[in-house]
Amino acid sequence: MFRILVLSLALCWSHGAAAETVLVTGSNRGLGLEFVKQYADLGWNVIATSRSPEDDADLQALATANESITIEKLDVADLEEIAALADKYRGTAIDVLMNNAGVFGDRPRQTWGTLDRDLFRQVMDINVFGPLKISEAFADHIAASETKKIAVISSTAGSLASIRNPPGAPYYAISKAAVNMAMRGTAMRLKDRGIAVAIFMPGAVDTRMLREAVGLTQEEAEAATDYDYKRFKPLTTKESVSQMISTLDALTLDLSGDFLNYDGKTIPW
Amino acid sequence: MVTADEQRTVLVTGANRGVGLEFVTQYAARGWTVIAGCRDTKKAQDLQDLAASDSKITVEPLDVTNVSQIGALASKYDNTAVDVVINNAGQYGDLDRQSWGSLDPALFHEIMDVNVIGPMKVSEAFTPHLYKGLDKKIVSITSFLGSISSVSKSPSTPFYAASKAALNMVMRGIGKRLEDKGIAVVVFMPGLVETRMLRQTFGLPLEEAEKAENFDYRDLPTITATQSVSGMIPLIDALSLETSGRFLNYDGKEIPW
Repeated sequence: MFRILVLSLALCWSHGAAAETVLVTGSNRGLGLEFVKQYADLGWNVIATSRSPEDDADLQALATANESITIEKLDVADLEEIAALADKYRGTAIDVLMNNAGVFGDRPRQTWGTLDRDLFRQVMDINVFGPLKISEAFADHIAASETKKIAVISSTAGSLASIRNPPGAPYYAISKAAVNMAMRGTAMRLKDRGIAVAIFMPGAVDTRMLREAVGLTQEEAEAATDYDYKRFKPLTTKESVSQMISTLDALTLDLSGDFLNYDGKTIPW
Repeated sequence: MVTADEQRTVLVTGANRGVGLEFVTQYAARGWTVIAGCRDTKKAQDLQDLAASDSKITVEPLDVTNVSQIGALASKYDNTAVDVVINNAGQYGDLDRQSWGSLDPALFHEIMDVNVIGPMKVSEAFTPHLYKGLDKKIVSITSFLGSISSVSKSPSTPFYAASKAALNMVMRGIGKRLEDKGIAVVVFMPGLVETRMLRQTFGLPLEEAEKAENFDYRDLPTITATQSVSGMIPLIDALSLETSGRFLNYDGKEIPW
């Protein structure tokens, strides 16, 4: 009995001593900011990246209050920044890579009749190529860790099988189908290195992007923090993120590359 | 008397070789009017020869990544009813520029432009022509490699695979968007067709794949472009709003997303 107690204490200790590390992209608001908060509360080291950290008061305040949070500048569409950050952390084991950064894109520029190719490229760069390139750049860091996991925040809008209505934001939907394929491929690519990949549907979470999805412009969506969704009650970022963290904890290589709801249920492609 | 076939018009992109050229051949043989779009009309000798022998085939310059050229072609055919649009043009992309460790953003952009936004812009531009048509159908040539649920090993061409999953979503969206206007859509896996692109999947660079006509496909169950297109055309004929939005093999078998 005593020996079991000592053993479990020792395990706790060793676990605590080598704190795990997570890298979060788009960590300045919404789900990204909540991932930073919750992983920091769990005692993890957090590399919190965002496009322009100097403007991110919420993230700055969080990092000031918690020394395990390090803020780094990272625009996921900027290849040089990706490479430089990967170099800076060379030799650091990263347990979890959380590809959270994403854009919805202006609706009028992805509306049938006025499809704008520049917006298409922008949405695809941020939502598809970004996560793929970052996973490539950090694969060694992740392989060197204990946990070895990559997650990407996708959307139910990217589920080909689930389409019932004309998409309000076709580029967003297309980018999410594409990133699902890209990350499923990445899962297969990295399986023999012991890295498991989760493709998450975070739920209908009360974020700026959800308010964009219900029809507000980005500026309106940013301001409308007490927005009344009327037809449904959204999840809080706290609920969604805590469940995604649990689901990711439980993820095994067998389930790597599946499309998962935040609560772990499989979603059809 | 004008037959039903003789009243029909089809627009084919990437009409200069392979599956595209075969669509032109077979629709023209049925008596359809064919607008055969291709990037470089001067180099498209086989297509030019075909058009020279059949006045119902018109060869048009169409680079699906050139938005103003798409617009100009749509304007040129302003008063023409188009029954079927076939988005066939597509690109596989060099293997080494989409290999893990050297993922190249320039190739990513190029493939997404040709395989995804290209067909989307062509479909958008020709929607008014389709409204005037009798059949009202949009077809895109995708690939089995775009079936996300079928991925069970590491892809050798992740950009191509992602682009085909993306194209499938483009077409799913268009299907829902234009359903109430009577437009039906389908995406096809054309089969393992003996084309330049299939030879690229064996690792041949574009130039070699172009020349290697007596290529040994080893134990791959390949089919000819004739077999593939003769499979797809009856399926396009049978396409209706009730069956719209599906992912079909050239022989009619449904492929999972």
